[in-house]
Amino acid sequence: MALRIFHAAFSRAGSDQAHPKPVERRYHQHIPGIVFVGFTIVVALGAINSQNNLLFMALGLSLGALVVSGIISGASLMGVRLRREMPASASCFRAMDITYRVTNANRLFGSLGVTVEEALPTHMRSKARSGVAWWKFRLAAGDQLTPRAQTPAAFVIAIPPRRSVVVRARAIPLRRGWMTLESVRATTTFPFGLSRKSVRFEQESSVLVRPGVLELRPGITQGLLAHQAPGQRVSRRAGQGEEFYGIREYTPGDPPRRIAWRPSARRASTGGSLVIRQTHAPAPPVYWVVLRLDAGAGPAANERAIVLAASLLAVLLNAHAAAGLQILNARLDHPGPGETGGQTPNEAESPPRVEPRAGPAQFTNLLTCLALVRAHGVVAGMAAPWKGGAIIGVHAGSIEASAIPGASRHWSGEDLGKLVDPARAGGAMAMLERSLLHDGGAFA
Amino acid sequence: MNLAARLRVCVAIVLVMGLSCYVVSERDALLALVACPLLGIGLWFTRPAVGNQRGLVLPGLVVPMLILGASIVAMFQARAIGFDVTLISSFAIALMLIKLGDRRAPRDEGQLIALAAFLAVAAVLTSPELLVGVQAIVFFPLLVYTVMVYQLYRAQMEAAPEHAGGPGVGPTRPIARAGALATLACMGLGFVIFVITPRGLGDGFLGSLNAPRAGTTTGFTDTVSLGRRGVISESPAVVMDVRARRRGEPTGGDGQSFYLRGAVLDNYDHATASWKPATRQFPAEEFGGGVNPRRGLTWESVGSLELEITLRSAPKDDAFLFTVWRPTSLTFDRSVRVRSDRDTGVFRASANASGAFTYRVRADTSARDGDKQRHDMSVDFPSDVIRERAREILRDAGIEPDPAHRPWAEDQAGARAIADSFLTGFEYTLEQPPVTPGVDPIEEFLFATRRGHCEYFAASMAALCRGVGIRARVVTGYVANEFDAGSGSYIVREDDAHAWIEVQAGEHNRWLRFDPTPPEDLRRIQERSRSLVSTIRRMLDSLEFAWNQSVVFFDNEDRRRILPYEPGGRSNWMRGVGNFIARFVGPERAQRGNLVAAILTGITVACVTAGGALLGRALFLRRRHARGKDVLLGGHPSRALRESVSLYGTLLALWDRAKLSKPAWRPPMAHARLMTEDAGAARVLREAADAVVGLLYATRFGAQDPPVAEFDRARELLARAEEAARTQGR
Repeated sequence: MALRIFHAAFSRAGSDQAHPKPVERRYHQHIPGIVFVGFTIVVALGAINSQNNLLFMALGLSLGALVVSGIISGASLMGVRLRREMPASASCFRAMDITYRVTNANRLFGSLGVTVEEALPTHMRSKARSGVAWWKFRLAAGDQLTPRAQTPAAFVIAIPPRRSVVVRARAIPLRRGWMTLESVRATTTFPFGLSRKSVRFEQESSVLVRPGVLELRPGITQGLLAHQAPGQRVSRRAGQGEEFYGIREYTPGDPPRRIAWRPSARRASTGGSLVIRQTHAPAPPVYWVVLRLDAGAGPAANERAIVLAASLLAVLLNAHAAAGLQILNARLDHPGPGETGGQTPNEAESPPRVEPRAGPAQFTNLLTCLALVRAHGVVAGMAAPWKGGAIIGVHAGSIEASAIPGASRHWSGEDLGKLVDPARAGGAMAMLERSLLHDGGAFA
Repeated sequence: MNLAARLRVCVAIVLVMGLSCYVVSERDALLALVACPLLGIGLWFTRPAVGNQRGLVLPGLVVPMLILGASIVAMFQARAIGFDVTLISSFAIALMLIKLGDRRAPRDEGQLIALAAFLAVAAVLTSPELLVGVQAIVFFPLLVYTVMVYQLYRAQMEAAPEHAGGPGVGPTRPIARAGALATLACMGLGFVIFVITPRGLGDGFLGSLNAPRAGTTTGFTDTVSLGRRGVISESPAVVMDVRARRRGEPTGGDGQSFYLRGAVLDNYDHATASWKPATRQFPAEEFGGGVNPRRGLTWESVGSLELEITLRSAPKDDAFLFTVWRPTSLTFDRSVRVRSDRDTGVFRASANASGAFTYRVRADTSARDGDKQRHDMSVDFPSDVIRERAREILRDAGIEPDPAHRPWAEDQAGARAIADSFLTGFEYTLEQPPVTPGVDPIEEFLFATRRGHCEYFAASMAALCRGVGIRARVVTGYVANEFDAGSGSYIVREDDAHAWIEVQAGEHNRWLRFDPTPPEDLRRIQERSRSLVSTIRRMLDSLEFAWNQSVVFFDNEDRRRILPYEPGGRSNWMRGVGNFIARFVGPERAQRGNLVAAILTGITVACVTAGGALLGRALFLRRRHARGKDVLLGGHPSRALRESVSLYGTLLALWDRAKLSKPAWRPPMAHARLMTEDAGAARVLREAADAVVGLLYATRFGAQDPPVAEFDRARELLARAEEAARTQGR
């Protein structure tokens, strides 16, 4: 299932139309423009009062600048076309590049000073910029002044006529899940900054943002991996381990030291050939991370727990362990906006689970699963058995050991601050806290 | 060169240009000596050391303190000398120099550019001279280019600051091309607006808010005090331009001069040896401006000679206007307050305007000045030696010296004889003759030194004429004799100031002009040098004349000449407004106040329109928000967030008051839970915290806004907690 989600995430990226036309053109109020208009009025009054022809000339130039500013900024965006290309994948608190191909279809005039920025839907904008008074916002943020949330933006100095330019906007997503960008806007204040002209393009593109992975303290990591020594478990296949697997006939090239002499001697009496002793292949240690979400604990607690689970899984997989994930009291969102991703109703209702495996592909699957998970009360038929490995419980709310029987360690999402290595993950932790508390924006 | 570096260079050039423009217009050497080096030092030390690194910046607190200090100094100066462009510009220069040490963000560069632009405008406002105009014209494209680079840099810093200090950018040519296009377009539009804007409307309606010194001063005085410098000036500064027409045809040329009368001095004070104007009070009248402006004074419609005189500096404080004898009408294009004395032909004016000032004089050079053709026996000069000298001159010329027996018709010949007596034995010099204490300077000039400048000649001839009963008066003014064939006009300089006399005599009883100054000496001294410097100066003067004629003195007549029709007609709408107002306030007050009223009406209409639009928008939004009547915050997520954040702010204050302040790093929910576990916290506060934080999280993360009831409950709990805190505080 997770694999299907993963493929769905990839298949949606970069499915935009080529060179769509803008759906909206408008002039915006611009403070320097208003100031300049005020200045022009003062010059006009001075010219009328004094009848000073040089002031009339200054008035003419001022009014001319106003008109020219409007015309040039309009002409500058007249032939601009935009195409957005989302990255294949993204992670919270890590910069991602959104690529824009900006084309100037105008045959005569170049475009200068074009800023390409996402016109974010309301729920993705910073609340600080959508009407909360700054003093209230500051109050709400405690004694920390919230930095201005960023909207992904790129800048093009010049696009010659009938040419295209590729620019990239760097953005740091703050929230996991499907990020859908709907419209993108090209704006310019060129040439004089007196008016701000924009054209908006409707282009829906999505990318699955995986939860942030924070570096944990070294002590936590060592303690975590001490539950199972390497080689403690064996694989079902023959390999280079210690445990006896079976015997087979000798083939040239087998190391002589692995010849099982006694069985060979017994077989020799019956005319058989040499046999060699086989051992099991060593298996990586298996860990289950059982994440218990709690819809009643609030979104922040759940988010912290998810980030903690992702970080623990990263530690385990980096240590070449096989890690599995079981999420309690949760369900997965559909794999992509507007799609079911081929999930059956039963799959959608069953608690999300990823079987233990090792390797980078498993890490991708785990993070994809965590990206789409959503706390959903107590799901019927929960607590599918997890067996064969050490169990680590991660709780969204307060720790309830009985909810995850057999777990060797229990952590709560609220412990994240204590577990994170401040030297290496302090910035990401701050972004997480900001995303949870202070800033409603989708980007840092 | 990347954008940041290019912007730095452009800003430096614009600052230097703006400051030099203003310094030139002010002609203030001290300002130049102080401000220019400081600007250079500031630019040097604030230049970026490497790449996009910031140069020197002043500490954060120093800049506001310096600005505060400059503001206080400016306020004290304003109290002492009043607000004017010079004061504001000085303040702007101070701000510019301070701001140089505060170049932290792109916005600071923008402020510096704005200050430089302001200085250029102030320079234009202060002086209409060609050099200032040329500087302003050069400054404008530079300003346009700099603003463009600034806009690009600022937009880049906002959108992609990581690239702003990167390696050089390519599109130098597109920016330069766009800059040239924008400059041409602005100038073209500016020219059109300059031409079509009607002149004369609203002249002085704000009073003399801007009455800066403009251009050169005439140096003209209305008193001839012998033994002092008087009107003698050796400055070649241009004072006025004069165009002459006789019977509608342009007239003038080399060798033809016009004596432009300023002051008429018919009162000799022996105590100070000064010729002064007789004390006469004549009322002031308003001309020009308003809806139905009176264009000027007219006594008679006749007059064959017409002069169009353009003063380089508008008259202030009862300054003299220059005319020729005998004026029959004066007309003005601009608002001016004039006091006129028809008998002497003296006009004094005050204009609430700066810059150049043009008026037209029509004169009848052959008119009769009076019917009385007999001697005024009261005319005399109380000096026996002068009286005797005058009689001697007339006797030598065969003219009866006694006015009682001399025929009236011989007065003109007598005056001519006296004037001719100065041709031999007298020397014209600009050097100041020594004055012997206790001796009348006229007597000393006539009988001892016999050398002096025009004031001595004029004063002495007037004294001699009066000594033999001939009515004479000293006139001071300018002699327009430098004809510019290219422009067809005379250029009058400060060193063209002159004094002569007028004698009432002749067949038509006219005031006749006599210039006793030896013409050869005068011509020799006033002759223009043929040196290269003088030639260049004359070329510059011609250029300045062209500049003045085409730009500085541009008026409605020029507009009519350029335009095929007159935009706005004769301002019928203004006339209508004026007539409407006149019904209520009377025509006198209406004439002056109607433009103000019209502007106020326009502003009121604009405000009402804007207010109506805002009201409509508010009603529209209200209607849209009212769709979800049952859910208070439905359809407007930010309102729910605002409300919950507001409640959360109250909760934080309550926590602070209860000494349970939330550390910045601790999430609200975690803190609320700690409160729940803390036995010391009041129960009502714990409940309020749970409710408010729950709301905050729900509005922040929830898919839907919480119902109104939860907000009400949280408000109620908070109110109870506040009440409990107040009670505890007591």
